[in-house]
This record gives sequence, C-alpha cells and structure tokens, in this order.
Amino acid sequence: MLLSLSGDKTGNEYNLNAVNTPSGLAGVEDEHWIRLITELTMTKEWEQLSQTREEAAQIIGEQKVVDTLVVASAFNGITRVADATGIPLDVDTEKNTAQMRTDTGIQSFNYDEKSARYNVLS
Amino acid sequence: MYEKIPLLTEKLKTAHEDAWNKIAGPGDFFSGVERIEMIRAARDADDCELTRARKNAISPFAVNGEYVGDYLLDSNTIDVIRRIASDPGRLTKAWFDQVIANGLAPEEYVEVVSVVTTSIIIDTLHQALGLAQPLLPQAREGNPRKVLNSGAIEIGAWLPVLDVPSQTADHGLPKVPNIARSLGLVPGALQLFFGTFSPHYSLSNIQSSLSQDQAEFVASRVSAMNECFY
Repeated sequence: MLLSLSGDKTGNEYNLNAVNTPSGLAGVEDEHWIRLITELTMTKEWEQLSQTREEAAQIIGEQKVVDTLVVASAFNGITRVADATGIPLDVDTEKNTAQMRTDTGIQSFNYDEKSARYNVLS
Repeated sequence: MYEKIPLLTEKLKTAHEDAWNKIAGPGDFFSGVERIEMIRAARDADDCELTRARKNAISPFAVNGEYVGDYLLDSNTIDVIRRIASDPGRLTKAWFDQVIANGLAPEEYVEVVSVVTTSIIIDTLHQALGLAQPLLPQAREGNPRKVLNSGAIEIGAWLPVLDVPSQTADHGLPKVPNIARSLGLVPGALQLFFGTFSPHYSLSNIQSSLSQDQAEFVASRVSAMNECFY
C-alpha cells in the first residue's frame, strides 16, 4: 500500500486500517468525497455516482472529481493484472510492509491464502 | 472519445484511442475480431447468470455450468475473461494451471489479460464519467504477429515476466516494479496495457489535481475492494 510510503515522504501519518474497511478515516484531505466517488465506481452504482459527482464538484471541484475517477479506473484495471498473473510483491516492499499488511488485513489477500480458501470446493 | 470531458488530459484521451485502435487489429496470438470478442465477453459478465452465481458463491469454483452466449472464443477463454472481469480477487494458481491445461497457452493467456484489463480501464472511466461505453471498434484484418519474449524469466509469478536490471528509483521503489514486468512474456500485451495505464497515474510527482497521497488513497481503496494483494 503506497499510501504509507507517500505519507512517509510528505510527513503525514495515515490510519491505514481505514483503507481496507468501508468506514473509518485514513486522514487524507477531502477523503469523504474521494472515498465515496471511488467506492461508487467500484460497485458500479452509476446513478448514485452521477449525483455524487455533482455534489462533490461543488465542494472539492470538478477537476478533482475527474482525477479521482482517472486513478480509480486505472487501478480497476491494474489490480486485475496483478491478480491474474500472481505477481509477487517487490522484494523491498515485501520486507518493509510485513507488519502493515498483517495489521490492515491485506495479508489475507495473498495468493497462497486465497488458494487455501477458494480451492477447497473445486 | 471523451469529446465532452475537457478536464481529461489530451495524453490520456490519445492513449485510450490508440488502445482501442490497437485492440481492433491483430495481436500476437489473436486476430482483431477475437480481441474485440474479448471486450464483448467482459462487458457481458454482469448479465451472465453463471458468472453472477460464481461471484455470489463462497468459493467461485463450487458452481458448475456452461456459459451462454455466441462467442468466437472457446469456453476456456471465456472463463478467463469472465472471472477477470467479475471476480479478480478470487483467482487462484490452481485455476490458472487448469486454464493452461485446458489448452490456452501462457502467451495467449497474457494477451487475453492485457486486452480485457485495458478495456476495463476504458469502460470504467466512461461509465464513471456518465458516458456510454465506447462502441466496439471495427476489426482490422491481418494475422497475429506471434511475437514472444523468449528472454522472459521466472520470479515466482504464475508466468514468466520481463527481465530487467534491479535498480531502485528516487522514491525508494524499484525503477521497474514487478507489476510493470508481469505481462512481459508478450511485449505487445505489456505495451497495450501500460500505454493505457500510464497517463492515469505515476508512482511519484503525479500530474493531477490530486496530491500523491490522495492518489495513493484512491489506489489503495480500489485494491482493497478488489482484494488485490499486490
């Protein structure tokens, strides 16, 4: 999760647990709107998203709304590349994020654990 | 594409148009017609009863059945497309091995992943902006190029990946992270996907109204919702 690395560089500390849950605050600026726009995109709630885009544009600006969608759509693709190729973490990332992955629950997404969970009935 | 959206960069618009155009032509192992069928099959995922049943099951491999629909691609390839489109977080190595055993060559698999995920980026952005999905492009004739990277190496992924020197960038991450190597078995597939992805995001100094931290938050939230480990 590069939010931790980015936060280290900017000197901001974030609550990373909030990223892996539908509620809670990580501490990023404009988080309410950015999160809502992202989540509605991922759940394909297009009508609700249309309303939310308009509301959010009044508060955080239209450019930020569009740029949130630009990043969300990109990661909706690249996460699929990662999951479809079983690509391992980069060596340093694996070493430096072990505790964070456990704390946030991301470790449960690793390929071995997924195989153990989902191959049971195959 | 995106004529009514002035807030997108020209670079992004051009990249998406280029990708759409490239998909319509022959790839390395599939024809233009077959590549367009991949987009169609990905788009149909939400309306597919079997796909929905698998997504809702405790294990996506517990539900048997056959895909309905008239596609030029075989059912093994349709299965790859549907699962990547609908339930990527629950793909497993055992499933991948079965796909290969059922006759889809690793290099063909890479091309399918590239075309489908590229189209998902483009379709997602259109839908999220309130636009209709772009019309499927007109296929161009021609034979697949059959270009394979024989220098791809094993690093513990399900497939051989691009071989690059190990170098660290200023931001502390590898200059070429593993994800950017993942489709390296087929250079054309890697170029198609990352040519589309690159104008959306960068690991540092992102050119956006979002700060790097905000962009990483969005990326992390999407990753979590897709149950992506990487």
